[in-house]
Amino acid sequence: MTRRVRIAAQVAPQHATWQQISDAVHRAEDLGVDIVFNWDHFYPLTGDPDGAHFEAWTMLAALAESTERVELGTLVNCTIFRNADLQADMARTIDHISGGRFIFGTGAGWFEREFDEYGYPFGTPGQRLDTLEGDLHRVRARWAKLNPPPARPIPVLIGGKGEQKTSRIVAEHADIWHSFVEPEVYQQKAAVLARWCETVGRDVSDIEFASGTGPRGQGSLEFDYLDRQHEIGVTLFSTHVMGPEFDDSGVRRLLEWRASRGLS
Amino acid sequence: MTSRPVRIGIQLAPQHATYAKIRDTVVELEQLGADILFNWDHFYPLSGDPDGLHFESWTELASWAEITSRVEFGALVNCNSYRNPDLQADMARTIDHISAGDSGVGRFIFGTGSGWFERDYDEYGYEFGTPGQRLDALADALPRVESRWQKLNPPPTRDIPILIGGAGEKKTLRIVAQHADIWHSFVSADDLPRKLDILREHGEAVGRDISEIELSNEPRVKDLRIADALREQGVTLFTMGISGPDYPLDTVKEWLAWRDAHNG
Repeated sequence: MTRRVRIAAQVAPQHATWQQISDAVHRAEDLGVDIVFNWDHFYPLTGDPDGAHFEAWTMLAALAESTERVELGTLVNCTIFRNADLQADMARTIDHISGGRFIFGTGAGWFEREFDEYGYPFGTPGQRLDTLEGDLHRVRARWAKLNPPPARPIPVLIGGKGEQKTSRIVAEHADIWHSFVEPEVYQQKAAVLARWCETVGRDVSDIEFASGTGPRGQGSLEFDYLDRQHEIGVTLFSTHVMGPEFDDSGVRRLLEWRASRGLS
Repeated sequence: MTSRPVRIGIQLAPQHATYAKIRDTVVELEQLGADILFNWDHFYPLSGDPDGLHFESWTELASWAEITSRVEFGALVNCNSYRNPDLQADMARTIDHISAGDSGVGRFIFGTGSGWFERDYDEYGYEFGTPGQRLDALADALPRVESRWQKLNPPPTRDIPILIGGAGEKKTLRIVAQHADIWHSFVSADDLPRKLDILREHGEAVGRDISEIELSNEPRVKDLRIADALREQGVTLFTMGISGPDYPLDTVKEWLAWRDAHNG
């Protein structure tokens, strides 16, 4: 199937006041992005490690009120931090607040400092991925039971590139697969995902491919790089908008690239 | 006995209503002059059809931070069992900031308790335990919440008021004496002096002047003579629950007029 190319701004909830974060989200909506993400952490990922930072889900619920058009979600939620049934209930409530614009982006978590400081067991990557898999079943089961149900089938986005567990979990559960890897690696990972899809009986074309440029030097906003990502099947492109400046030149560049290729 | 003004808190049960109806009611209650708006932290209706419509508490409160501009608001009450205490603190502080607006002073009240509704626990996969265990968990959680508020960057915009509900004499009132800015109960005017004596004893044991604690009460019968009797015992915050689908406001308006007469 042919998917529309979509652009997402990941507004980092760090090194800024709430008002600055909220303003950055509204600017991104006004610029024409399709999706605004934040992330689910307790401390900044770049810059001063003890700088200003806010909580993901309550921010999204407020933004569900103040935005009008964009889809909203975490890139990504850390499944360890909240009971899975509660995650489903929060997601469904924000979905209703927003009139059906919530995306459930989730993952296993990785940032050890926040586990230690807030008192969560960190465990091993394998244990966290097992938890993620179990939690995704619970989230879907809860969505099927909640009254009212979600306003739409809430898209599930899963981030990561691990070939043994993450890719299989994506094959089984994701509507959107997101990764921060370059095109050559992305293609390899996509092939792994296609094999897992065969194994679990899923049509890989049902999964939207998403790729991002990250805060730690991942990816690129060069047009030929974006062209290559698009050629291998990526249709959702995300980039960070980082406090305190919330420079949105990366978002503008993605929008320019999309327009220049006639993909809007 | 006190110079505190009489305040009216309206608890909108997040049940048997669409989110649009809840939002409209919140906005109308702020316009009518309510001092505080509450919801509750449950997963199923507490009255009426046990499988009726219901929404999640904290995401709803974050929405209220955005759609109101004057009222204070919070849960009556949060269930401590459902979320990690450090996360509770982070969410509370984030909502506090979202609600601050141009004044720079937040409007969030952290109402909390140990939890009691077994169906919530069973269905969402929380361990129910015993009332004593849940109260011990609450006693352990509150220092973590307070400590996290000290550490967060940015800190809360104000000393977030802590409201604690319950009238258990050995454990709950001890926790109230140690941590509460507002003590909420359903105790009758006849029984209140004895409970206050016990609270005072706990206050002496932990070195707290309990006159610092605002007394909140919800009379089970909505009779203003009962409210007058409670007022004479020092109660200044009066709460009243209303429920979907209709959220009737007639009694609310009577009580707001009664408040205005008291406050001159």
